[in-house]
Amino acid sequence: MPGWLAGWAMAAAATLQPAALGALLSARLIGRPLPWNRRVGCGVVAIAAAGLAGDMLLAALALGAGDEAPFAGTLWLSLTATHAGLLRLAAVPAVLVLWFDCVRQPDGRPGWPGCLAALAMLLARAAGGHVADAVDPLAALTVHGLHLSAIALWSGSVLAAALAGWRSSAAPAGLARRLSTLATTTLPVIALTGALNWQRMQPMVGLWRWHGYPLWLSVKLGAALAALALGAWNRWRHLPNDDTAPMPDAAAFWRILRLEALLLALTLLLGARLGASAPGA
Amino acid sequence: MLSSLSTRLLLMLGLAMPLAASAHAVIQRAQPAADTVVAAPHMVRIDFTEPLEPAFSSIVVRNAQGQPVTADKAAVPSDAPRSLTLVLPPLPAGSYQVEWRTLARDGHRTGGNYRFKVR
Repeated sequence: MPGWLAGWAMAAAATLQPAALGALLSARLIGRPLPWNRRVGCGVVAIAAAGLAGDMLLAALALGAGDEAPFAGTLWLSLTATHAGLLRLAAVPAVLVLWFDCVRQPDGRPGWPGCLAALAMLLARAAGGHVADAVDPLAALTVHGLHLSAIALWSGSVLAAALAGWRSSAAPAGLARRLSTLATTTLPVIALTGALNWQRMQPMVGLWRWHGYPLWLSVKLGAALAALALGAWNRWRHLPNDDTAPMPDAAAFWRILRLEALLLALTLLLGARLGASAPGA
Repeated sequence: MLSSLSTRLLLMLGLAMPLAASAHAVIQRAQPAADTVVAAPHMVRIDFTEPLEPAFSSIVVRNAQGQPVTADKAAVPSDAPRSLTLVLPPLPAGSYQVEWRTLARDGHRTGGNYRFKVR
């Protein structure tokens, strides 16, 4: 597999995890207005598990490229003898806890054990990549863990609403308002932790050339800002003050929300690509 | 309220956080150095800018005919996680190429090569 394709395939697999985990956490936080059931919950956990498995396999493929060693050996070594591999292995019991918790819950929304497992998986993802070689890994992990968790919550809630909520929500205005509140709460965290991550990358800025890392970072920021503008527009233009009131133009609201979901999925994809890219490249 | 508290906590964390040079592993120093003429070295040692993953980091030294001069594997010393060493047999005079590949702890692969001569 060509290097550029491997990089994007790994990013796509890595995107599935925060998207699915954010959707699961938001299903718990938003509650009843977001239509959800056990089948949907288990399906979303399966997406997170598929993302984790894809991440493991693609990382081993990339590490073994050009070597004659059998793939199974490279896979085992990549999982047991590298920092990133051990983090991926640590996420396996967490995904199992999440699965059993969603199966156990009557409405398929994760309970506290499942939510903690989802947060542990997000932290494990945040601990790989550039955090691993920071001067103060604990501070870097705290900042990036908060950043990834907040972006996952925002994106996951919008994706879940765009995919599952728009047709069947009994109270669309209530769902829209809770989505908006969740986004508003996560935004200061995303902005501040993003700024701190930027501060951590400053020593490398002098090495940047205008492709790869800085280009993707710019597109990511642009997509996030566009999603933010769409969300704000949707709230002020289409959301009634009363949760029980009918929405004046519900079709337009959900159309804009789906566009916001696409932009947030792009933001997650580019975030995952940045995590697997050398800043100086 | 929650946002305001999280803002304050994050600002405090930001002030306390030292700057970190997150990057891929690039050579900081090599012995023997590139394009030098040296007496037969006992080992090649390359110091990188980032901690390395020993399982996926390697050095191969080839003679002028392209043959590896040793079947031994490179190692990352336990007290120097940013260094990669390869013990060499006695090398006759000639030109040698050092080929290195690393996997940094942040998951980035880098590689390269350079030459040195033994007098």
